[in-house]
Amino acid sequence: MQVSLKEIHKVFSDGTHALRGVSLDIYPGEVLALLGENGAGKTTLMKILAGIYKPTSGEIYIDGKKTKFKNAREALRLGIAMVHQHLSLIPGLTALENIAVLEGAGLGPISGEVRKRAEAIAAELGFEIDWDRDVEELPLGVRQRVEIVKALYWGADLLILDEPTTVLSPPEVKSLFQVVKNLKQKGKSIVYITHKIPEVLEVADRIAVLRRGLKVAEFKPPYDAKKLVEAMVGELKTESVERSGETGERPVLEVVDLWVYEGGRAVVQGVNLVVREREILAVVGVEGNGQEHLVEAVVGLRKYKGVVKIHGGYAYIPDDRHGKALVLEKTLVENAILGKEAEFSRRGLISWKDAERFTAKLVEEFGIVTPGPWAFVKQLSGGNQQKLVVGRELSRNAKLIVAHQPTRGLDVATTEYVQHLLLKARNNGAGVLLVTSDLDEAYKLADTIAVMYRGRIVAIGSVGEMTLDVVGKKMAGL
Amino acid sequence: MRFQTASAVNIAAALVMAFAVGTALMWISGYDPLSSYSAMLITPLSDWVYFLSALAFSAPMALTGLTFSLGLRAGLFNIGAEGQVYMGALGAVAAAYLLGGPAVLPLAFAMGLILAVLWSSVPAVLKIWRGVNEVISTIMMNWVAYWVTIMAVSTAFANPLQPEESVKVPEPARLTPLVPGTDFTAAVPIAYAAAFLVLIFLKYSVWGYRISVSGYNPIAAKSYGIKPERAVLVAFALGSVTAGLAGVLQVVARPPSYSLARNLANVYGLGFDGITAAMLGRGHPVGVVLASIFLGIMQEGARHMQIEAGTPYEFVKVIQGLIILFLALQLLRK
Repeated sequence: MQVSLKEIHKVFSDGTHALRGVSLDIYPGEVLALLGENGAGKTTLMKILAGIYKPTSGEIYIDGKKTKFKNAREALRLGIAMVHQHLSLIPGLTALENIAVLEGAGLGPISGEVRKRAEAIAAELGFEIDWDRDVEELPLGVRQRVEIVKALYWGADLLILDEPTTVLSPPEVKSLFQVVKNLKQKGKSIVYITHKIPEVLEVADRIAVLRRGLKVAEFKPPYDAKKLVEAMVGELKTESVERSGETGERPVLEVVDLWVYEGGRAVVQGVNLVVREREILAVVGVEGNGQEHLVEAVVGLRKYKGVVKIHGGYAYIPDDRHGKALVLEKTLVENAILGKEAEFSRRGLISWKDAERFTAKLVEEFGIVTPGPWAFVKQLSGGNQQKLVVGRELSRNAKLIVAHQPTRGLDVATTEYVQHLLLKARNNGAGVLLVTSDLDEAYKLADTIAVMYRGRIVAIGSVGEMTLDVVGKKMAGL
Repeated sequence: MRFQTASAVNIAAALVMAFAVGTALMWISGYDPLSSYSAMLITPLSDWVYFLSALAFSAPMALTGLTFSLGLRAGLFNIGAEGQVYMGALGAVAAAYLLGGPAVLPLAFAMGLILAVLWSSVPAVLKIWRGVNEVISTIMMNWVAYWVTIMAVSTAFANPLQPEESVKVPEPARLTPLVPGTDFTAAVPIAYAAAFLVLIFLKYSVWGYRISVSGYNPIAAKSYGIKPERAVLVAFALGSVTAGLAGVLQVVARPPSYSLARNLANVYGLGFDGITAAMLGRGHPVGVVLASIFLGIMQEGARHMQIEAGTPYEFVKVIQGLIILFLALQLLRK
């Protein structure tokens, strides 16, 4: 099956412009890797192809014929199936029932035919599946195989695997690659969504890289891992931004031998860091190498072993503003005083008048576009929400600013603005721990760059020493 | 888990559907819906004595409604008011047993409220330490409270003269009707004042703010130094104070018995009526009071319905149940 996506745009109801005109061809019998950071639009694009989302504009051609899907079932009927990152089998049903469920309603037992065909497909791929167990009792790797069999059972010619290795152990990953190869030999097309470079080097016949809702590059073998990283995180434009004052001596953050565990696995392994006054320390790396855990340990959201010392308070700009920084169902005023509600209260009662005045000041100072201070935060655009978060955090006048992906999902102007604010805070004497996967941003802002790979800081040095060449290699684990 | 509050449309729809189904049920059972509803909803408004009685019915429901509303703010489904009401009543009875004269009144409040707060501390602590779901722990605590109270009233605090009820609050310690000939006691203004205080607490206090941030987004709360566990604790504790208050008032300020029935008839179900009041009142203290007055009118109307239309008292409970059912249906659908 040959699929062409033409100029696909997707704007979500909250105003996020997730895809900005992506065109992509998928050929029969190839493994196409869709590479990009979280939020680049990979999954959104494929959900459109699988009929789960409707594109805002753009066209889909299947074997040259223009097609529109009403839902995922229609896409499946035409041979397009998606295996989701968080698998979508129905718990409480057995593996076989999960396959038969697409037959639709009926009172009779599942026919022997279903079992025979499912077993035949599984055997061909070398899967061993216990068909009569509740899927919830099956290991994640096996559940994924059930999903693949289900897709093939219903006649998929094009299989979309969304971050398929996130749920797998290393040996399972190996056998998944074998499965991908087998499927390709049978003439199926496979779209492999991932942000992990070693994986695409292993399986891809062709790589398309998405960044901020655009397709920025396509690659054919032989691949250059460094080039892939560059395409993913943005090429380097060395712009000089006003930076004044030398880094001071006094530390604002000291991290000594930090270990963070998740599910028994050490995801941060003995990290040592110091952030000083008037210093921006950028921790870069491909996402999922422990940066998130590092940040959450520093701000006290996570248990850790080791030492974290913060001098002079901290401000925190989290990566996920909806989940961690804001209460969307509340007003700007209520969000503006989050974390400093005690400052606005006397004898236990909050002065909403003072809070409103403060909010008005933030709105004015940071150019937040809002119907008013008592508007609900969910009414604001993503950029304005982030300005509110950044404004609130910078107004704490803390010595340490922890900024985690502070510009993700923002438009160019707001990105510049937020970066400018961080730099200004640095010039005024704050230390900034900037965790980002955007190399552009790191080089623009940082005094010092550290590369994180698999839970460790594998390289650290001043911006001058850390050339893009070194950073790229270290990020890819080379 | 977040629990949505119903919108005005949801509430209107639930009321319409509940009364419609109620109509059908009455009609099938051979009662006249029109005169039943008229007796249930209009008669209580036709006379001051009736209306003041309706307000008297509303007081404990408003208080337990506040319990549930405070829980909702913190993201909790705290249905422990029922047991905490029993505990409040038990404390008041114990005070009547221990002392005589007017001193019983302050002691009743002190013991009732302390018992209720202690009772709520069990699910609160379980929730914070071990993440135990508060729905399960409060239901269990309700049953423990039920049997403990029945045991106490049947044994230690039994009234030798009237075996069907506990010892009575001595006359000087009673809060008697403010309007003679009605059930309207100080309980009513106390309950509404409590609602006003809760309103101030939620709207203006630092802890009210923290509770509501934790309820909406515990991770954001944690990110900026609010401890969601403490918010849970405060919501549980304050909620148990209002529930306990309801229990105490049912004993010291409810004519004619001024005691606790051995089958708990004068406190039974008040905690759950509070859930209805809170859902109808959208978890807002003023809404809770208005909803409790509405429910109080229905309850007062139930007597008249039985007399005027010959329709059994229980139909009021049926309709209240239907209201909750239709509200829940709409909220689940979302």
